[in-house]
Amino acid sequence: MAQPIFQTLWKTGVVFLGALTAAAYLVLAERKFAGYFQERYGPNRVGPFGLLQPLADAVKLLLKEEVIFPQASRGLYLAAPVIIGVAALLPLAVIPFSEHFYIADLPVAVLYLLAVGSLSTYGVLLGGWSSNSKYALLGGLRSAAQMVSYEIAMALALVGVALMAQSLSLVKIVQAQQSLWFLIPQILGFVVFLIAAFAETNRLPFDLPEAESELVAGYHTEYSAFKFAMFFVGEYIHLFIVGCLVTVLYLGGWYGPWKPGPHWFFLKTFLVLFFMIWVRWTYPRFRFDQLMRFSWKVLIPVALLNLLLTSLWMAL
Amino acid sequence: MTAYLSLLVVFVLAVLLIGGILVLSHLLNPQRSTNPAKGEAYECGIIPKGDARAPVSIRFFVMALLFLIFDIEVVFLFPWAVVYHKLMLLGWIEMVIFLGILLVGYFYAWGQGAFDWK
Amino acid sequence: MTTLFWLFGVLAIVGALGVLFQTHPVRGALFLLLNFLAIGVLYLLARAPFVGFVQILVYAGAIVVLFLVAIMVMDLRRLESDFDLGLMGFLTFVLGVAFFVIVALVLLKNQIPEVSPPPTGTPEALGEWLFGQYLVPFELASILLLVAIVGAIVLIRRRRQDVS
Repeated sequence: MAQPIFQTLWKTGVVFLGALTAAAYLVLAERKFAGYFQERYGPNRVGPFGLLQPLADAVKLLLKEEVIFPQASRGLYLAAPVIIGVAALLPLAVIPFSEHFYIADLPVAVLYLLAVGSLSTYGVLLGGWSSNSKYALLGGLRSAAQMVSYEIAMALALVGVALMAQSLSLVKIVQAQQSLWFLIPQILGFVVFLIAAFAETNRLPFDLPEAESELVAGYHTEYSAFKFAMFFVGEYIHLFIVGCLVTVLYLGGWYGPWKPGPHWFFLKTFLVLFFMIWVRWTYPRFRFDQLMRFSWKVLIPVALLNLLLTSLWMAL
Repeated sequence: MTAYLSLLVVFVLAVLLIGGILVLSHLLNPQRSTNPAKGEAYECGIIPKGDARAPVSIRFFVMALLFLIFDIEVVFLFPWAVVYHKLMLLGWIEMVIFLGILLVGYFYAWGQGAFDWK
Repeated sequence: MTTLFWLFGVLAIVGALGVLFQTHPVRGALFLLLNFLAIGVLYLLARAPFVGFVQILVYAGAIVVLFLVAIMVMDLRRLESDFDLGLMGFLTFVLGVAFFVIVALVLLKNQIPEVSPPPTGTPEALGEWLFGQYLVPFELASILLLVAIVGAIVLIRRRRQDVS
């Protein structure tokens, strides 16, 4: 009894620290790539190639003055960043980084991901509402409407994967892709999942909740210091997890052309994340009505079609 | 069962980590002047007018309601997906009937403009 | 395991009492969230992982979000002042007491088994039942959902006509 708990403890510690580092360097990668896409250097003052920039940012945000907004509903206002941070970390529990390194192999891991994912809605909704500010409230509501609309499409895409793997365990899903990645038979589902992932992570072209030209900063307008940073960190941990999930669900996880191992996992995850950064700095923003219409009238029917075709093909 | 205990461990550690960071930031945070302007809602420099918690568009409510209904639909699909290899064509027909009935509602909602944000 | 059961059982009860005694609608909804989450964990402890996560996904993830959005869409101050239940309140009271009596009778008549149940809350077990023995109730569930969609749309349409 004590043995597995101890093992879980150190594994969780490693994974959490890894995810926080990944999030910090994703911010740097994003700024760096954005710089190159726009023909400038990006951050290059702190350390060689700006590699110490995340450290400097963290220290700066820790030392910033904390304004607890006096008109806010204090308890909820303080709870919202905690919810965001915790909800962002929880999915890490079931992600298999290699055949043997994962915190828990749940037989219902896909459902766990959906259940935990739905909880992050509370962070934005409560953060927006408790701030008692018009921009924050609108940003929070918009974000919640967007997240729930794309969650359906994402879940439908996941059913396709479960159908092919005949399991909801992420380890079994990867093992089912040993000979053929699900990217090929589930190409429709892959596209739906990826688009929904952009929306779930609130990234351009779906970053309406925090569209700075109309809502200042959306639900975290009234947050400062590290409480603000928590929304930011949560977003980038979420991005990292989405990269991992695309790898696990569609790109064969730890399998590669040669000896399988975590290096393949991280290589693929990095390529997915690079793609997401690339898209962000290439496309303009949707309008909110276009965004909602797109999810309900395009993504959901396509995901359903994918399901019916996949299952029919399996039966024949 | 140990897998579920791991989830509990992960949850507790996540709360401790996030809470710890925020408490640390609170302890390190410098106390500077308390200018009353800092407590005003940010509205681009204009003095806020009226209550921020004004009623907003009912559209948000419709979205949450439709989400709930379709969420329940998706939940039924997961047990189907994991036993599908035993049911095959029979399972396919069963699901087509289930989804077919729901599609009537989906197109009704579409026709009524529930997915159009105006 | 028993310790965890007591911990989350007490949390569920705290959540339920919070819904009853908290007058602020948003805080009340959050107590409801606590209650749903704790019950989800209780399902997990009863070796029903599918039911547990669906409880969290649907109840905690969708229903409470719906409540919160409904509260934010409405005018909160009016909600606080015009809180007169009238006949509705009386009916709710009667139904609530009736439900409690039924549950109590069932509990008194039937012995609660001491041993933990076999693992029936897994997606595989549920799938076999839903698409075999209980196919008809499953298909009927889709009609129930259809009614819910139509009801939601009609409700909104009437609202919109009232406004315009």
